[in-house]
Amino acid sequence: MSRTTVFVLLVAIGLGVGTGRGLEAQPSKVDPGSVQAVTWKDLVPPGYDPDRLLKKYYDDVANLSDSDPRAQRLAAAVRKAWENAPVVEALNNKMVKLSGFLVTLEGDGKAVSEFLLVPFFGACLHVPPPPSNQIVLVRTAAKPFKIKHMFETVAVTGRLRTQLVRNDLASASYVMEATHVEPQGN
Amino acid sequence: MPILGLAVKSLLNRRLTAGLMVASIGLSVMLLLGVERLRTQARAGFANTISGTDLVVGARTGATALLLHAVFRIGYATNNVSWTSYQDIARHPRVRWTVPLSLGDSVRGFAVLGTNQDYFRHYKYARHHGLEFASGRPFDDVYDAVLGAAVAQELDLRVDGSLVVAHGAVDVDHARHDDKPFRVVGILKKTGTPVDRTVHVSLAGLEAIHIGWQSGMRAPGASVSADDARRQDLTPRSITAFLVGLDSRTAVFHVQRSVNDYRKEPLLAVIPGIVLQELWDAIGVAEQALLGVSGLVALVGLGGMVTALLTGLNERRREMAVLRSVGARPRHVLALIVGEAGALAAAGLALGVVLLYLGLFVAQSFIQTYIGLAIEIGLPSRYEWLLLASVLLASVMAGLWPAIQAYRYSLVDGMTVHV
Repeated sequence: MSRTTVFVLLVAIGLGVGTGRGLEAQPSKVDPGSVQAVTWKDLVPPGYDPDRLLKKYYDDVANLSDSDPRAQRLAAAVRKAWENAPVVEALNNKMVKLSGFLVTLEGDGKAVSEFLLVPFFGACLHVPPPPSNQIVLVRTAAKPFKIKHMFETVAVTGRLRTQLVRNDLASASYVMEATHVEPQGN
Repeated sequence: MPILGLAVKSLLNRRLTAGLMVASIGLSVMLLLGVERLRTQARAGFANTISGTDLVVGARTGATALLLHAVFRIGYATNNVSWTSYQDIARHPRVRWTVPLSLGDSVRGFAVLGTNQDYFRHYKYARHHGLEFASGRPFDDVYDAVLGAAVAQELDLRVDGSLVVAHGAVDVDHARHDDKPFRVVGILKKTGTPVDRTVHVSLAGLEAIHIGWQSGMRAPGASVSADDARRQDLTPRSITAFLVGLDSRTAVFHVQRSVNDYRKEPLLAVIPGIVLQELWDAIGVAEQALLGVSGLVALVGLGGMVTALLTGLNERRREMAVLRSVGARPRHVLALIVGEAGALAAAGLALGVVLLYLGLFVAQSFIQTYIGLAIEIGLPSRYEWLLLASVLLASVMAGLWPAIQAYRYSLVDGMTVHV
């Protein structure tokens, strides 16, 4: 499967989450201790729909022009909602396996010890960055992962935690202590 | 084993050609290991220079150019960031800390960095190591300076020493801020990063020495004394770049986007890890090419060895006959030549490793001086051992060719040689 296909697929999944079509995806039952394979949809609490914001504020969203002050206020509200998207508390402390694109944060030039795992590829400027519940901070301090190229697709296995961010909005984010990182063909 | 001893003795008898063969293999091995060593060390050096910083923000330019200038002091900035924009972004709700960076001046070749005390608190290198003071304390007064380890060493400055900042990147007589000398209040411990080669002063200090330079040169007759400068407003109007730390690393894309979308001024925010990765991807091809070329050079070295052994065979048919006469079998002759090739290669490898460490020792200070990256001189890595082993194996394999030739000769010639 080419990288473009993967990209298109992942964006499609992302959009699916955004428009609420992913709502039926409940985190499945887990035996404690065993690894649960999760998808990006599982990281979104059921019922969360950022697009509802748009409808909540104005009915004529589609007709707003960019320079309309209402559009700018709305954009700010949506951005804020996406930056502080809720997490699924049920996933706290679960061993999970999740695949996505690797975005290097810390490393020694050969191996990465800290990276972000995201559902779609890097710097797509046409849409906002993924909501905060679609970004997982992965630490591989125990065994740094040897990276081959930028935005490599990897499957990460490790303990997922939901971590409270100390800011005035009291939002949370996903952090994962990886026990195993494997590259995936792309 | 006596055959290997015989091989060595036979080689010693032909010192000159053997010496040349060893030298050519040694040089090629040094090149091969040196390329590999510099490649990994340079990567590690760059990657270890910045840690724990979520974003580097500067005026809009290339991502690599911004990071190289702001963090590694390589290249120069095309534009500055206005102080008000900096303040705006520092107030972003997700931003936990910022460190302003103002570059452009120098002290005898060392970069001068204008910053504030947050630099000593938040700048981290090599997996979250903070800066530590070897002596003294952070700057406090307008004319205080904190030196990196290499600056203090090379300029032989201690706490309470004084130094003069030059305008621009090259220190020349006619562009010195000699009316406003700085006092050394602290010296940092060695970090192995460009920090070692940096003179840190307060933003106010940089502002003070540039009073009267608004026209781009020192205004004639309008000099403001160091003490008068203190009384002026020393808030900077612009800075070169700034480092940003966030309340959560997962917020990095959102803050990056909001900086890049900042309306009042074209700014660029980059994630250091991504830019470095981009850099590795870009220079990865060149690295592979260099490694390939040095691998070929090693092959050429081995080729030279085989040529020398082959041409030597004809002259040594009498030697083989003598060996045969004392009871050597043709397979002993085969082993002798292979042993020679192995011994030559082993000597070449040893020479190559010695040359490598000599070279590193010389290059270390050179690289530290010009790039500011510390090259560690450690034991060979696993990959380097693998390279060495493969060169040895390749030379023994290559030695088989002249060895088989010698085997044939000794079969044909027997004990009487008709040359």
